[in-house]
Amino acid sequence: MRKTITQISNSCKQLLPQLKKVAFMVPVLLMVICANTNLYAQTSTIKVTGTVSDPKGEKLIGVTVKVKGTALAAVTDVNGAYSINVPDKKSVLVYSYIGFSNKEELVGERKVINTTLSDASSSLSEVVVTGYGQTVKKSDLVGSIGSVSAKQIQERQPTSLADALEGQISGAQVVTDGGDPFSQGTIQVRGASTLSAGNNPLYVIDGVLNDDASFLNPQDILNIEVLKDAASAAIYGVRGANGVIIITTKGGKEGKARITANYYHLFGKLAHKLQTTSAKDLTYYRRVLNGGAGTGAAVNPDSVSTFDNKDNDYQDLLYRTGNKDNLNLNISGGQKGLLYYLGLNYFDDRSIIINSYAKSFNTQFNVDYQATEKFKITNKISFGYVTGNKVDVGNTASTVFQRNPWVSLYRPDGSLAGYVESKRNPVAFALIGENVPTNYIIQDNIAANYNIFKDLRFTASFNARMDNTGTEQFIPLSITSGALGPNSGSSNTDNKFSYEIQTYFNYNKKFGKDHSISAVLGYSRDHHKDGGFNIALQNYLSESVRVSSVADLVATGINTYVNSYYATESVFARAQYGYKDKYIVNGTYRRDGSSRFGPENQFGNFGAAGFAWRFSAEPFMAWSKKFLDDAKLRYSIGVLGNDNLKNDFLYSVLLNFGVGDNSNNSGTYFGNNGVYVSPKLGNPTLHWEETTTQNLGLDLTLFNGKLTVTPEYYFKKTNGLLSTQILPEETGVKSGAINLGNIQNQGFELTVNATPVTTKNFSWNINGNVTFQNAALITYLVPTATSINGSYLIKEGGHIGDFYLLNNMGVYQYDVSNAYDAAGNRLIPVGVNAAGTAATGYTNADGSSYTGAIRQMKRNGKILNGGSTIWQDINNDGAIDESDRQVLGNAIPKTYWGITNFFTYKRFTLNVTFNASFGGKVYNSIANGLNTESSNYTPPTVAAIYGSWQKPGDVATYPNMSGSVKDTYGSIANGTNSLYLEDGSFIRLASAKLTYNIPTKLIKKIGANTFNLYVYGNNLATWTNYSWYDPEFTTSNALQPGFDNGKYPRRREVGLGINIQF
Amino acid sequence: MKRILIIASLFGIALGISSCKKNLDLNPASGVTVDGYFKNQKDITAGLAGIYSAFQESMTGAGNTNDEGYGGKYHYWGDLRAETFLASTFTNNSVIEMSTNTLQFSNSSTDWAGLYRVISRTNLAIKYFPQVPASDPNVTPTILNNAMAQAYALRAESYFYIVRNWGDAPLWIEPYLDITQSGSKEKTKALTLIDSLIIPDLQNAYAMISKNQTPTVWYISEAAICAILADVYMWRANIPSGGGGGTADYTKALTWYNTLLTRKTPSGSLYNATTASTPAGAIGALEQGVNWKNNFLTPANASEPIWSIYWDYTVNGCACIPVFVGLSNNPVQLDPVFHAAFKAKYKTDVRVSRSIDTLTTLNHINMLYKYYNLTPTTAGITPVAGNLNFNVYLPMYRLADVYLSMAEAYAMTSDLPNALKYLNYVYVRARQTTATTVVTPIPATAYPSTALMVDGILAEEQFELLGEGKRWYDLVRMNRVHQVMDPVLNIRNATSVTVGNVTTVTPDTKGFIDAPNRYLWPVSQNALNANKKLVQNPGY
Repeated sequence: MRKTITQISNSCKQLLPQLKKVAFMVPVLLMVICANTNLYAQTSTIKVTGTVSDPKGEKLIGVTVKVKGTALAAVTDVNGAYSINVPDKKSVLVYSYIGFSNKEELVGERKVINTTLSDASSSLSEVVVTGYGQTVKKSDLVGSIGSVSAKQIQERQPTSLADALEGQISGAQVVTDGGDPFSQGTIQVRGASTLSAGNNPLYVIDGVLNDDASFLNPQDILNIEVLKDAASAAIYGVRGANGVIIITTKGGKEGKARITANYYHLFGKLAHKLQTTSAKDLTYYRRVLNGGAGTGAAVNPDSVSTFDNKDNDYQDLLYRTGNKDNLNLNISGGQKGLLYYLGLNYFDDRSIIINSYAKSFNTQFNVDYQATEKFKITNKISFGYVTGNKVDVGNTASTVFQRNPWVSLYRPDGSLAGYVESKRNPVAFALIGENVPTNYIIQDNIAANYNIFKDLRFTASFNARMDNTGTEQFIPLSITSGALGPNSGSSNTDNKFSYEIQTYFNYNKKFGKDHSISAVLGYSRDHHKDGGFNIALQNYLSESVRVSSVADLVATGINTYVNSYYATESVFARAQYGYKDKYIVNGTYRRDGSSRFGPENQFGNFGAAGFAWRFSAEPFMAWSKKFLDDAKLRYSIGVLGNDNLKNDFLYSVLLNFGVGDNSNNSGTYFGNNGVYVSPKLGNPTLHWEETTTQNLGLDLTLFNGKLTVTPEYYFKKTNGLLSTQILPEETGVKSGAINLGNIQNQGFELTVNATPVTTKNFSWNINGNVTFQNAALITYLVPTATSINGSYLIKEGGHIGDFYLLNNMGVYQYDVSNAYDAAGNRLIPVGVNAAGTAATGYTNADGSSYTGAIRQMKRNGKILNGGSTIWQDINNDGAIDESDRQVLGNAIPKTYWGITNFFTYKRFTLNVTFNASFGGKVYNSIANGLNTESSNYTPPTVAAIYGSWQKPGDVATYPNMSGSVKDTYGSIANGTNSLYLEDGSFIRLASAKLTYNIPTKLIKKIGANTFNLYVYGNNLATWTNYSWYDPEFTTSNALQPGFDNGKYPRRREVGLGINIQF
Repeated sequence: MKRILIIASLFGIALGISSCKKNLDLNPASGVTVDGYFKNQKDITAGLAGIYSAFQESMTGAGNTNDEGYGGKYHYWGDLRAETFLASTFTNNSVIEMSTNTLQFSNSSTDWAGLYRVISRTNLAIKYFPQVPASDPNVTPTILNNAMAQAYALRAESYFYIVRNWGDAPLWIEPYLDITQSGSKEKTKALTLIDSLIIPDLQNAYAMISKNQTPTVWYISEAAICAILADVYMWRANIPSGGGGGTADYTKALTWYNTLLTRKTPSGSLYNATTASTPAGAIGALEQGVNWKNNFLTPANASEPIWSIYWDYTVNGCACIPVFVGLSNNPVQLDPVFHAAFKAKYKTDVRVSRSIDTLTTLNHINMLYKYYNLTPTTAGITPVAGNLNFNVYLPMYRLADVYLSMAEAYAMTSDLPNALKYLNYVYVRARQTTATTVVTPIPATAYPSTALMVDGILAEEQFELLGEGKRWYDLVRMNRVHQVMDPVLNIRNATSVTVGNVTTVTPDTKGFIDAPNRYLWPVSQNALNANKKLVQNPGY
């Protein structure tokens, strides 16, 4: 599995023969086989009729009934009835329906066959998509794959993929931002395995490799498979190291058009309201600031000015009841040889901050055309359009805490005020500021399948994706500082285009009774281009026009055109062999080339092997047959790669020009553009990041499928982490891409699915998963690595996300409380005078008298006094500084779990999902920032106002905030203060949905087959000790997880919806 | 049908395998390799622009209000630690630390990255410029030498700032282009930097630059090289802790100053051409008093400037120096005591109304008018807040500061008459409210000793060079930090205790603590983090 270093030309030579062989084989085979193609003759037949129903007795409409081994097929009608002519008595009928297991019935002597299909979710024969046209029966899986079905998605009513997956799959840590209408959330499979930007898994949408799935409407998804281990993901080689999520969209079924319409409306409220500073709090604080005294405007504003006598609760003013509408319509159907699915979705989310909204429109159109018995063409085209208004959290939600409550929102003339006392008016910025994205995404995937033999299929596909994302921003004159202008705006457009070509062969064959083989061999290549323009304007002559002719172009280097591209190329193969379905072996190989690495390191080899043993099929397990349906032990090991650097061409030392995106202003002087070494220094030795994953799992199915238990253990080691190395400032460049070091993740996952009760009227299904992880342990770092990254320490033996802080141990009660013995133990002063400046003596912590020399702690060169924060002096040198920081917690949760309960009572179903996360810390940077008193006009948090030290003798949590002191003793330590490190654990009632299925006879009149009404709730309750809005939020920097610097607050939602199917 | 299928399949395959080498062999979209550059004259022009723009960013700023610190470091390094400025109401901890001598390693201005960025660009130029003539015959030795002279001089100037701010520092004379080699280096002694890098570089630069040319004020000229070199010789003694005990060489300094006087000004005259005044020769070659502000507003056409930093707000953005007039919340303001002293000369000194506002309230005392074409009246002036459209041309050297330095050098070599002569040029010019105003020069009896003469120079300099990034270095060089700063710091570091409604303010007594360690800045935590071979400066 070692990476081979090969020159480009060599690699090409190696690739080419294989491909030429493929190129040669296909047409030859096509000719041979096409010549033999004919439609088989119809002979005398037997007519079979019957009905198909679900376990509850509901008739199923649109079930496909096929005669096995032929193209003969029929579809059930609105009464669930079908009629089909079968060739003979040996014919086997195969019933298939979305969300249900396939069922086979031997015709025999019967003329009427009524049958019942069972739900797919509890079935071992469920098929799992493994990629590149391959599927595997769940029972034959060697690797670790978690699945989410259309039904589960339907129950959850998600608005994004992350929403759909949250709490559903062990090992997939899903983080969502519940309030922001634009957030897509993040999904991380089995811990961070990389430090660079690309911690996201690979999304394979109908076979197309994507970096995100943002354009997809969750309602169009048939199923989602999360590939977690190497055996499953290795087929995706370089792209698979962070896990792979395979998404299959819905397709059509033969028969009359099936129309499904779904509408829901949700009301949202700020889930967790925080206490903001009131005018009374502020008055109190101003007195504190003035050392307990103060008069006039500093403490009480002008009592006759209406402008200065408000008591605004900005949270109430900024937040509203959100409204979310979703209308989904899909039509599917088909006739022999031609199937189609059309999904339309309109989504309008007016979120909880005023004027914050998103609208999107998605379409998905899938067509399958079986041109001949052997040849099939499919086309899947998706289109997404998103627009709205992105309200800037920094200018609004964060300002809620920064602006003094007593100043008015409005000017005397009734217009919204912009800045007052240098603080933005959050309401004005939300209402009048504009940040309007307009995004279009279109993806098309054309695939041709040809069955060369019965067992050998050839597929060629071409797919292309275009993202056109643009943003228009505008700040009108009235909310600029002093309303003096200039008004300003910008417009940017980013164009991404990528295409991919895949060709592969699939081979599936059973030899005799005992041997089965499936294999895939293929080639793919892709090319990605990303370019964009930005222009900035100011002094708009009319504020209702946004085109450039109305304003002056700002010429300060903001106007840019940027462009970049990269390409990859791969060959891959996978084979699986099964003996008696008892022993299964699987092997994968992939060779990837990426333009992101220099010629020396362009190619990498990846692969995996997996073994499974169905020991329940062994004779010695016969005793367990009564309760154990199936038991399988599986192990896999493999190597995956990663080339996901934030930038292309990082292997090359480059010169940049002018005012680039990397530098600030240092690019132009006296009319000349400059040239300089790129601040991101190229690294020709840069190579693939490689993740080796081992997975040991056990699949147990008990009590006729009523209980499945899947414990799994994984060990994941990433070598050659791609990261950015901060270079010494003296080199004149800022950073370079390097292979920084190694990290490892290990964890244990348990998935349990149980159906404790099934009666005719009541059933209860519970699906739970839990993950225990030891994530991102750093096992090696290159010696030059920078260890301190903001509030974090990155060190060999430590973990990613280790908070590196000063330990806050309280506040000195008196000046004389700052007293230590030689060993660094704090002494307790006795007989302290009123000013706190003198004591008659000292005792040790145990109360015994102390007579030795007194040492006092210093910070910033000053002896700490009463009201200063007590810091732990790790090195006992009597001075608190950078060297006294220590690791005081980690941001990554140790455990997370999700539980979904599914109750059915007659026509009611209730679905309740909880998810939880434990052991992760969150740094409350926003509270810390407010308490720095960086501006006279910014009040601290209410807790700090009333909890601060004010006079000698106070026992306080927060230090002295008097204006004359103003953090000169370093008591706030923004970013390094353990006081602001909080427990981020939470349990959340993530969603609940109660559905009533209206009886069929009542809805027949309107021609509907099913008619569901439901009430739905999202984020209904959260139990956490975290003090700010919510402990769960996404992080853009993989090295700095759990850093809360002001996020869009989460909302609590309730609503109702209907679902009709015709 | 079959044929179509076959063709379609073939087409798919053909697409798949076409030219695999080309597929991965992509050229960078936003940069060129070093080997592919430095081939013709425009590459030299671009190389120099890269160097000057990095220096401009370090001094004036990155063109907005929210980059590292606030504006460039010119004022923070040269002015904020002295007595004329202090932290304003809208300040930040970094500025408080500078104005109260409580610097921390976390101070946003104690960052030498900007200067080393200039140095790395000069190193690139020095290494690659000489290869250009081989591929571009139009690049004559004169063109090349002039470009090399600029690179050498700016490298020396950057190291000179580093030595003055931090003392010992790592030495880089080659561009860093290979990431596989460690970029961490230990510090080199400050005196070694001065003697074996700064001075030779400047001598090289002077040897290479074309002589008797009329310079462009935005670039280093013959006179600028002389000025820097003289400055370096005078500074040489004042390298506290770790400097290695060099001695100032006033003779060499004066030699270079006198060479400077024979060079051409940006307006084409010579620096020793006497300006018309009453009586003749009273102000040397300085601009007339009424034209004093031309040094800052139109340095390209004036006869006194030697080297100023260019700015163009339409391209560079906001020249947001800490005393910018276009913003309403500057972190820095004038010291009220100094402000009062300066304002008292309103009627007799041409510089007052051209430098400062007459009001002491917010949005007046926290702005410096010197660099703007705005003249406050007795009622002050409130410029349009949020108007970032001002160009600020920060002077690096001009004749008045050269005269004051010459006065100092003569004073230190006990030539008091010459010292007084040059001091009086500046003194008289400032008081010539019209071209014909007769000003009584300072009599020789006022400053009968070297020490008093130095005090006299400093007294004049605080007004003449207000906000020109010189004051702090002059206090250190002339060994007047305690004398000037102790009383000021005792007031700034006073403690106030409030009992009930009575606030008692007790001035501090410690003065300037920890001299001479704190003459230097601490090495920034970022620098220490990234280069593990660095050690913190003593006292921090």
